[in-house]
Amino acid sequence: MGGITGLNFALEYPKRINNLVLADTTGGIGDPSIVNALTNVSSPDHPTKRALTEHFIKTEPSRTLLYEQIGLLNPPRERSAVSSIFRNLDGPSAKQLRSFATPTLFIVGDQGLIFLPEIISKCHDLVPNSKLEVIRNGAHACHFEHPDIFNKHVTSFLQQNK
Amino acid sequence: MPYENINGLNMYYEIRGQGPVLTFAHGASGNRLMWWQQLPYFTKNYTCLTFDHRGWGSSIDDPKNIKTSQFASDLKALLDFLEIDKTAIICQSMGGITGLNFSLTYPEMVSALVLADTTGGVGEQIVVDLLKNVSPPDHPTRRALTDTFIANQPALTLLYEQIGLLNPSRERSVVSSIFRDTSGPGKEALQDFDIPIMFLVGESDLIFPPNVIEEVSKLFTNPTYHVIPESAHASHFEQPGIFNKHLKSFLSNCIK
Repeated sequence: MGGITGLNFALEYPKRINNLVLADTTGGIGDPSIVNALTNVSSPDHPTKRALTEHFIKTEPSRTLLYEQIGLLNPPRERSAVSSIFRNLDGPSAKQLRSFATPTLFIVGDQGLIFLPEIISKCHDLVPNSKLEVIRNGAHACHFEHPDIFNKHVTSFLQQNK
Repeated sequence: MPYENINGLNMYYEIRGQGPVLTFAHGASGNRLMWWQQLPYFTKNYTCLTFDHRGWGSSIDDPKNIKTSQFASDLKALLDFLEIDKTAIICQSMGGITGLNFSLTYPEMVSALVLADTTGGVGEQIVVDLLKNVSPPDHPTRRALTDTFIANQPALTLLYEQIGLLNPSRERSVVSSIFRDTSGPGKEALQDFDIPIMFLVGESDLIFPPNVIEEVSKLFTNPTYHVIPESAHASHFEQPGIFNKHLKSFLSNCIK
């Protein structure tokens, strides 16, 4: 969801953003090719099963619980309230993005169930100055499942775009 | 996960697992989130109840006016609401005030008491005197974690600090003075205490050093006492494997 913040902010105040990282998010891009692709995606309702790989849930019970408990700090709300923001044709358009010059890194887990890697790859195609890194054996929370790989990608991206 | 209006407080709790009940009472630098390395280990065989003390975490109360004297009655009200009539209580640091007071007031409800890195607020003169000479660093992680852990585990160290930052900010002295109060339970109040009790303490605990906890344990008949190596005041967090192992073996001996 933070991608909504980041992409909108970068479009509105491009001079204040030198780099943008969109991890496991479309950033709310409203191009029909993205919105339509997302319409066919339905991830599990369970808060950890939809965000973490089965392997992680099985082998890392404490971290899985931590992930869930961090989420429980938020007030309970309908999932649809958030997921509909990403299925909105009023989001940033392909045309708007053509002139978007901020160096952008897309990161996605190859097992992401909420934003499938092929959808994020389409986003990457729509953003001119962007890179895509796919994290293997990661789902929607690859910063959490694979922090070392995630951090390495972000570090090297930031170094290339100083 | 639910809130319940209890004792005039909107109290937050979580309940997981199945089997005999374990209640986890967190310390002043934490809240229910600090037990994340214990719960998955125990939910297979026990019902695990975690909650936020009044004024901590999501149990919002006046942060200036801390009411540790109500902690035991808050827990009683929560257990009554949940229709739990028997539980083991696992306490860290400030949670020991809750656990020991509760056990003295409602002994029939307590199957076992675990005091980890805490005196439980024992008021015996010798304990209070020993604590007068103890002054841990002010920094929230340096006073609770070993230097080795801080150097080797930066992400977990940050997590420890961030869990603490979920609580309202308050003066340390208001909590530490509760443990330096001679009106806490002393030798006489404890002489008939017959609930199985285990003390755990980090070998480098700077807040309640092992020599203090050992002195506290002597006030009880037949206590179990373990020093946890390579850990300080948050032994459940630094050494969850050893902590959980001691806890498991103690509980399986006293909860049949």
